[in-house]
Amino acid sequence: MRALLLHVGEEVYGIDIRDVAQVLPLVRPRPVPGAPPFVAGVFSYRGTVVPVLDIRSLLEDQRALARLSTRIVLVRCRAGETVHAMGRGPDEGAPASQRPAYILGLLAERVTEIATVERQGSTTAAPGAGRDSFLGDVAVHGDQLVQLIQVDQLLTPQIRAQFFAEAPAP
Amino acid sequence: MIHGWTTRLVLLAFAAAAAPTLLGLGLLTREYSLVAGRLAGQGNTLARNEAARVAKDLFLLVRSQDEFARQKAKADLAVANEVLGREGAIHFADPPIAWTAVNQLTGEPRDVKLPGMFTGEAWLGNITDPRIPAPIVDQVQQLVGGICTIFQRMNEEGDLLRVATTILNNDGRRAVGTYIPAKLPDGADNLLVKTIISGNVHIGRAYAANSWALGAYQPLFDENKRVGGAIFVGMQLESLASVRAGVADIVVGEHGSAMVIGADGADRGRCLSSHQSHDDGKLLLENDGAGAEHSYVKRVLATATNLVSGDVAFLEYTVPAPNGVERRMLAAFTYFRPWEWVLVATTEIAGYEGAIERTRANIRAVVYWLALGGGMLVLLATAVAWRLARRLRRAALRAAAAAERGSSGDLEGGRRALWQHLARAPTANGDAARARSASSPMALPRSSPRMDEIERVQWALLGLFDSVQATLGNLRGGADDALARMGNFAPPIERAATSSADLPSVSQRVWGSARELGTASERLLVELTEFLERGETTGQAVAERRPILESVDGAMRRLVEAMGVVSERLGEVHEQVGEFSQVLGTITGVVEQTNLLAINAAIEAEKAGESGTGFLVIAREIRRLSDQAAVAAQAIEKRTSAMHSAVSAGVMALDKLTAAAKHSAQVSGNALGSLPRLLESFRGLLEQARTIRGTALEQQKRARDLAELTTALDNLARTTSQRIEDQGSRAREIRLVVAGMRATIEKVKL
Repeated sequence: MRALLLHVGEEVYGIDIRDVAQVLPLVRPRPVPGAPPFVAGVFSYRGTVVPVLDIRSLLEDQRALARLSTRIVLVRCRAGETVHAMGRGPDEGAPASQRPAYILGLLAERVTEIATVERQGSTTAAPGAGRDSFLGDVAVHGDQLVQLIQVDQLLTPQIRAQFFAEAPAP
Repeated sequence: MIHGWTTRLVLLAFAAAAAPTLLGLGLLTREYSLVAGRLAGQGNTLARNEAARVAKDLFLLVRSQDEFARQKAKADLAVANEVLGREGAIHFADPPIAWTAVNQLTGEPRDVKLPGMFTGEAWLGNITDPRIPAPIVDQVQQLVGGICTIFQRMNEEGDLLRVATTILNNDGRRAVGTYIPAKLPDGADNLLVKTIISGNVHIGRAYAANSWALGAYQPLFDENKRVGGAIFVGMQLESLASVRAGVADIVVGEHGSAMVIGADGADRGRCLSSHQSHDDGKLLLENDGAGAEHSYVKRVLATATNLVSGDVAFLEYTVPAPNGVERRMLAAFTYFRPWEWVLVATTEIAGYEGAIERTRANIRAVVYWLALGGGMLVLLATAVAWRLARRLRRAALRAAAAAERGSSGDLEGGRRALWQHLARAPTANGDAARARSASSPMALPRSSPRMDEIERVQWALLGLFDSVQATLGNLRGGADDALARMGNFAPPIERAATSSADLPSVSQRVWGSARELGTASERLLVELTEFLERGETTGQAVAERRPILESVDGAMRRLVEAMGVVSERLGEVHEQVGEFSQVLGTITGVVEQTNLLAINAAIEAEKAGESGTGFLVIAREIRRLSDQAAVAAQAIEKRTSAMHSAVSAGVMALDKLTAAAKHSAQVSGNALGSLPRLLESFRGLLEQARTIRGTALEQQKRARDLAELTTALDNLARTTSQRIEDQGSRAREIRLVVAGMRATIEKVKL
């Protein structure tokens, strides 16, 4: 599979390129008061308010550095998995392509590469549980291990409730 | 050689229709020549066969009549005897009766007196009036028909005189008074008379009074058992109606006929019976004034009497026709000896050849009609084929025209023309076409069984148009997208190229400034060393000598001056490094932007799938280059910032030193007045000068380092510039290609 690579510290993470809508240069998101610490803020993307999550904050309780290579990755998240995890929802069981999609911004460092990676399998003890529920399979890129990020899992009910009260993005 | 399907189809149809006709004509012509050859010369044979058959039939008819007449004669004779027996035997009594007896053969009269002849009590008398009943003979005639005659023997020779008869003369009276002479005119014995006189019955043909008759002569005996007369019962040959009717009705071939001709005596050459009884009774011999048409009679008579009874002989002859052409005739004849009749059947040979000619004409007519029908068939087939071929041709040309329009760029025009044509078709397929709007893509209605091949081709072409249009539409969209992206993509790259082009000159200036800085620092170091040496000496002798102090002052001034130069150079370097950093920042920004664009391009290309492969390759290449540039820029950035901080440190140190030196100079100037304070401050200055020297040494080291770095920077800048220039030209190339593609698509009317 093809993945967009990004770095948190020395670790490499990957996002399935099919989930990526666009990579934008770093803009300073407008902070949202009362939002969880991993929410860097919101910014306007083509007239739509897009929440930006700080990947580093999600993993290390430390904000991402504003490097030149620090960028905002716009991903398409599909609701459903999360709702399923909550055990309710009208979208349950619907095919992924038919579930509503939401645009989410991910603030990440050293977003400079798209690579072909080989999916190796899951390394998390209990995928889909805990704070790291968005971490998926581990893939290999050359000698590097790439931790894949399941973008759908980033759209927690909390995020959804806070930022996507209205209709999903087309 | 033959172009176009119209010609080919028409030729094919023509050949297909013409071939059987020509074959039939050929076969018929061959058959005709065969039949004609076989029939040639058959006319004569046919004529002979038919004439012979007629002659033979006639012969058989006559013979059967003869036999019938003989049988009847016997029966009639029995009847006559019965009548005679009833009346009583004949006898003669006086008075004698005078007769003028006429020889029936010569017509010679002779007067004789004969006793009266009686049968029983009845005198036969000399009754000439047919209304007066004559005994015996009339009775017999009433009973059996035919004729009956009683003869009286005239003399010893045996001349037999008719005394009573039913035969009428030409004048309508009974033919009594004629006699059958015992001697024929040529002196020979009359066999008939001889037979009768000898007491025998004669059955056969005999000349009775004025015509030939067929019957039985029986002698009549008187009381003395002497033949005193005879009785005849029979019929006149002329009255054989069946023979006459038969002959009259016979037609041989077309114009031929049958004829009976007498062969002896007075009847020699006389027509006894003929077609429609035209020539009955005529003498047909040439010297008797017969017509040319009967010229054959003499020759026939000459041959016929020699024929064995029943045999048929032939004679070919010609008669002149009214139109001057001689007609070839054939006579078949046979001879019936008992009656001495020649039976002739004549026919025109040409008649049979006419039949053959008719057969030929029939075949010719068949050939004619076949040719005519075949010709019409050929015309029809050709016309039908032409129509069909024209339809085919039109359809093919229409499809070709649409395809040509499409290939010349007017896709929509070609598609629309095809659609309009298909929608006009009066079939279900036409309905299918009409059901769709002119602009919507059309699927080929596969399930339609009424679609012919041409329509199928047109539908397929329409489908092709649709899919090409769709593909081109997609491609145009893709090209637009790509162009837009290139539009985003190219300017930053070009900016990067421009900026990086500045880099070498900037770095050159940095390099020059660094070298100057090195020189200045060297000088500063020298000055400082000297100053230090002097200061150290001065520290000891300051109280002793003023000139030394003055020289220190001079050294101080030069030092300050040198420091000013270094400071100035350092300021330049600082400024230039700042500028360099700025350019580098631009480059780095551009590189980052390029990288970003490359990433997004790769993302888009990934989404586009197959069609995005080419774009993906380019995006990957650009990204690779931008990565390299980014690495280079990062290295440059790192070193530049290091240098920048070094220069800043140098400037700061120098500033400090300058301030201190100026302060010292000021102090030294005043020191002339107050030396002790000067010395005080000089010690402090000396202390500071040591520090400055160290700083200057460091500064010199840094300047050297900076010079090295700048060289490296220059190299890097050159490489980066070149690479970015490469990217720029590559991007421009891609842009050109995509723009070209877009322009090409634009030419096609979708």
